[in-house]
Amino acid sequence: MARGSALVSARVAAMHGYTPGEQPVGGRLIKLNTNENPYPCSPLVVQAIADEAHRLQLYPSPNADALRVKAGAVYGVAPEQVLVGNGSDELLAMILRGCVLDGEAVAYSVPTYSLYRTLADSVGARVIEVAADGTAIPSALAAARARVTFVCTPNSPTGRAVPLDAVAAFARDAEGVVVVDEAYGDFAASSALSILADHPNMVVTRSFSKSFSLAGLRLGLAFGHADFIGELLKVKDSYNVSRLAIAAGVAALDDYAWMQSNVARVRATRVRVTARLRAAGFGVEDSHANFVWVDCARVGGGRTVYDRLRAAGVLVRYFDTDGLRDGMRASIGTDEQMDVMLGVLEG
Amino acid sequence: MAGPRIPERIRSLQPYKPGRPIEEVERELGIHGSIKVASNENPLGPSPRALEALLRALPGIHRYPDGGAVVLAEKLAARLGVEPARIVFGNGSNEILELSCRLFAGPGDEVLFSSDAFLVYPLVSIAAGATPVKAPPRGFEHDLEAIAARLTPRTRVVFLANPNNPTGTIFRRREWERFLALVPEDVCVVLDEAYCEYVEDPEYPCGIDFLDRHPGLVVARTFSKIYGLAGLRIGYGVGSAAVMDGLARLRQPFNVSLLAQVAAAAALDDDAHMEASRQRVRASRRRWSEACAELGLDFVPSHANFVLVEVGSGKTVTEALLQLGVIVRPMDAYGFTEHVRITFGTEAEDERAIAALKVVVSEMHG
Ligand SMILES: Cc1ncc(COP(=O)(O)O)c(C=O)c1O
Ligand SMILES: Cc1ncc(COP(=O)(O)O)c(C=O)c1O
Repeated sequence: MARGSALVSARVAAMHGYTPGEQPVGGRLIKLNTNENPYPCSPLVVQAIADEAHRLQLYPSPNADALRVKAGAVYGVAPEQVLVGNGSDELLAMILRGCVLDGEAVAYSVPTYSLYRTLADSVGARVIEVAADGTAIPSALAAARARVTFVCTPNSPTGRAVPLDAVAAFARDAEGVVVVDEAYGDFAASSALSILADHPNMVVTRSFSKSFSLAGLRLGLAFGHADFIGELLKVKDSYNVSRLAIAAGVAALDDYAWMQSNVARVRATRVRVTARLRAAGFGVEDSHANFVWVDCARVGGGRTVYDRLRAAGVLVRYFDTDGLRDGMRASIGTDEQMDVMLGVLEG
Repeated sequence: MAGPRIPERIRSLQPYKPGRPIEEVERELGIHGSIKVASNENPLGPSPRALEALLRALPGIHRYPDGGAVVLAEKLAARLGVEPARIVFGNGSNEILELSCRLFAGPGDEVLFSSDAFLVYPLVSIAAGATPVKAPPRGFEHDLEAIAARLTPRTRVVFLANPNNPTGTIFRRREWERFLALVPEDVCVVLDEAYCEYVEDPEYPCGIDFLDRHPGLVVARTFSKIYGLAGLRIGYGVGSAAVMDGLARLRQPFNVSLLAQVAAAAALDDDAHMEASRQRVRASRRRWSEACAELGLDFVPSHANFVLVEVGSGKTVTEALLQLGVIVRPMDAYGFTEHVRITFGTEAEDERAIAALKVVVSEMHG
């Protein structure tokens, strides 16, 4: 009999699936490894989900119309400029499926969100990775003339951000699609949404997983020009977003202040944690996101620190990847959670 | 400044026109109190256990779900009698259909299905860059021989729906076994069993029993129909571990929400709800046969939770029913211009739809 792997296209057989951060079962660990929000979502969201749960036998709105309208109003764009996804991951995948043919280039600077590689491989793209520090867009990225370029800002895992004028200059000269991944945008000082109108080739993606405390729900938004979003709708699964996610998304945007107050708390903790880590001798970047990148080279590297924290019941993210082995990424939890981590690292 | 270039195959795609939610239709028409018997949903709703589990999980919603849906996979695997590694969950079974097609077919490849089959098959084929190939049906049924006759060396995927949507017909074990023997081992057969739980025919072949006969078999199932969770988006594929591994690489790492996972797991435990849902459909099937006979309308005997009724002009009747607050689905997109598809409802919904159809039919003839 033919082996199943012989059935699969060579493209898929050669792919490495994305490795997500561990989701431990049971609640004893302090989980600082997947950049979730430690604070709960708005009570309005909980109420909206509970209300909508009584209509679960019915298919959702195919394009999540209510959320498109709400997001359009909140972010100052037309509803037709909004695409709603099953997490922003799905939106990134949809953009590649819609725009990239076999062998065409997808580019981004590294280190960055490792899913880009998986997604690009899955559409058979030619991947161009350019090493960069994440505070600017390297000229090699412009020279790559890729069909799609990902600009992750604030970037993961470093927390660095690219200044808006650099994003604008890059998009102005780019021929292909420029995807500005703002999964952590609410924790940063600026957003490319403010320059979207000037760039027909720009798409800005946003997530409800981080600032809105809704990672388990799977909800993201992409903003672009209406005709481009209209084309992407064609590659969307017919009902890609659940009823609960649509209702929750509307409620979350209704209670925008709730999100902002959680973001303010996370930022305050971020400042405090950064200072304490620096005082303890760690190299820590100024982060624009809800996590910090901690240089652990002087204390045996990222793996050693990961293991030490893990033994103490604190889960952070270690990347076994070139250029990242010296450090580890810690999500910003509550002050109490961070004190446990700091206690281990300062000791 | 030029906008981004979209490949021609995407630009020319006609997106699937899904049934719209009742809220949208009512808003547009300025009506309310209508009933929707158009999208093959379960009128009884989901199991109360599913809702309870979902509400209980809400405090954990700020965390990512388990990307591998391990708890649910183990539970479902035990029910189905397969290894958990042979199951992959999708954001609806729609996603399983799409991923299976993308996994195996690309430009230059052919994807084969019956011309009366679910409209998502041609769409996912075209989106993957492959060439859709249609085989003619036999009456209102898939003609597996005609499908097999169209296999070529370029065929990578065959989609079969059993029961089929929108006809509600099935193919039986003998025909299926003969077909499977004709399909080369390196061709993926996606057996779409979205409505399998409603089938009561003793000769109905359960796809899962055939996994070891064909290494490229993917059985696609859903929680949208009998489990009453269409709004939540969760379905699954069952196949060889190698093929499932391929699907898992293509899917998003967190494609199924936390709430969908816990609700589906709880729904699996509620046998009474499943039985009640079957009972309801059985009663509706009987009632609609009587009603069609009484109205002198031909219909296609259905093994699923809906019925295809020949009404003359599907479009006219759909619009007339809408004016009476009954939402059904016209079928011209499937080439059935003379039919409407009516989903089985609660007893009250059935009666209201039948009464409305009576009015419309007598007006047309009067
Ligand atoms: C840079 C970046 N983009 C996107 C995502 C995915 O977010 P979502 O949960 O909306 O799919 C993540 C999640 O970790 C991320 O780090
Ligand atoms: C034959 C068939 N397959 C698959 C589906 C998709 O179901 P879902 O994506 O909700 O699981 C449907 C829905 O109508 C269907 O009729």
